[in-house]
Amino acid sequence: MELKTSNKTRPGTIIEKIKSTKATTRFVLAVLIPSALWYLIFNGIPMIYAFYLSFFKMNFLDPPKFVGLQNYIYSFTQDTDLYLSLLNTVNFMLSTVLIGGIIAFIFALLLNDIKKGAAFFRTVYFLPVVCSMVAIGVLWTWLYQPRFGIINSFLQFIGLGRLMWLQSPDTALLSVIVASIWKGLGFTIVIFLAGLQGIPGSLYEAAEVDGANRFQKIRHITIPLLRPTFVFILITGVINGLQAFTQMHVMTGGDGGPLDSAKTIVFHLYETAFGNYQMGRAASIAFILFVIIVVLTVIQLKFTNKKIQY
Amino acid sequence: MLKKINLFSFFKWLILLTGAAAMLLPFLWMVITSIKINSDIISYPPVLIPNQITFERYRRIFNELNFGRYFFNSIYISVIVTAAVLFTSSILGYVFAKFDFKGKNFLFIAVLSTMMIPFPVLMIPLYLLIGKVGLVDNHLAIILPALFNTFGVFLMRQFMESIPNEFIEAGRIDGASEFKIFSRLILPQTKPALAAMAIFSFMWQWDSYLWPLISQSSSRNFTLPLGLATFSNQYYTDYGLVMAGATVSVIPIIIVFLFMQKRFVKGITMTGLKG
Repeated sequence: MELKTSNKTRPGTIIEKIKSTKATTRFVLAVLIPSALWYLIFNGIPMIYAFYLSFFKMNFLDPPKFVGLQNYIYSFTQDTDLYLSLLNTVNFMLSTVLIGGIIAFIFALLLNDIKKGAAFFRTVYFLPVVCSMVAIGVLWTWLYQPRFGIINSFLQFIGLGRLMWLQSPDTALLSVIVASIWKGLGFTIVIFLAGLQGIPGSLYEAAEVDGANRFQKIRHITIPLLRPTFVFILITGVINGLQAFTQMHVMTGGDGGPLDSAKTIVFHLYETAFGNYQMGRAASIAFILFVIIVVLTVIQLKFTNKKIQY
Repeated sequence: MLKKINLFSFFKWLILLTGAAAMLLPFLWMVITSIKINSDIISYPPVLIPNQITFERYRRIFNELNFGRYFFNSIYISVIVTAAVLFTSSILGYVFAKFDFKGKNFLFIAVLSTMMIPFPVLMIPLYLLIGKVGLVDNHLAIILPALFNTFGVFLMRQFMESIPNEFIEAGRIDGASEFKIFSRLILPQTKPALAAMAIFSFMWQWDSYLWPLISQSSSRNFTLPLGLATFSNQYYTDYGLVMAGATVSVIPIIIVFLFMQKRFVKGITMTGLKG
């Protein structure tokens, strides 16, 4: 995201001339006051309150009690579920971003290369994107069903063994990852296609004159020029991946999978807050997540502000 | 050389077609499962093309189970939220783009910085808040926190900036009120951005799961994702019924997408390229 400084009103425009009339002031205030109130009630105050809560022991049974840094200390030193869920989250996030990204990149390159049928393929790849994550999770849970699911029937048919998929600690997270990549692929392809279409054709023609082959062109023109797109997909994928919850909750029937193997950090936060009613402890987990996301966003701003040179 | 090109072309189409099959077959299997008779569902080798089909499950989905209600809830909440977000984003974006006032930069940065707050941080205080004001298990708990969308404000501001000031000037000379200038002269020119925002906002709300899960508790208040998840948990051994539920959840949105896919893709690239 590029933040431009606000559009300076050009000298002589009407805005500058009558900017302080009663009518404009009234209009601006009529917009700003309700907006500011909404932002305070639904963002500002909750944010501060969450921070405040993270220093309290609060469970609805006893009155809230100030405990200092204890929630954070507990999170970092004793909360083994947090550690496990953080590990699962990172695993999920890296797999979906990297594997999903590479598959989407290949499909985008191929789609960009054909004329007939590109619209058809794009439509088909995009279908899962418009469906809700819950519906996709429910659908894949059936495909993964160990006894009657079509995936195991297929594996058996081609002579491979059956797997327990969502019901084994070894494969539960993997199963969620595959379904998530499947759901998000069309979105990433469309973003890559938009990037590919922004590369001037003359660059490829010049490379052809120099005798570059297909792969050299991708290596030396496409990939360097798509850098902003790669960075965008990486960062948004990481930020969204860090907050993954829905597919895990749906596909594990709400329990996080065998041995919590598909439990993510938001899942753990949700259970801490709304399963065990440890609001203060949950708030501290939320703030740890917040800090991670802010750091990543700042890195993103640094990256995307660097302009590429043709 | 010619042979090499053909080989590449062969693999290109092979990969693209395999990808298309991988996308379509799960949906096809979902529909087939939902209309098969139970003995076919659990047979091995799987019955690919059923001899006997049944629509009984669809009757149950709508008559005995609450799916009609879930649909209605999801549609009306998503429509209200989308309409509200379009209005708030465009009017706040307009004010930030076209007016000068004290503290504007500070306010704009403050608004933008809320984009960094992940929802999981807000959900605990928001839950305590709706508990305090008695909105637990009430759709207002979903609607009120969704009335503004910061990304929408940002997008609309960018779009409004490209509209020449002369339009505002002309409106003022004609004596139109500030709100009329906004609604009659400026807003109609932002249709592409509004369409993109509408799709983005509707899909986002339609897909929303975590907050409805926390804020709603009775079945009659469930949105479609929440209803589908709860129902599939309850009937998880009735594979055909669960797939019928999944089918009715995805088919309407897929049909809408097929009719307006150009707008969809445009909207996604326009709003998707946020960050």
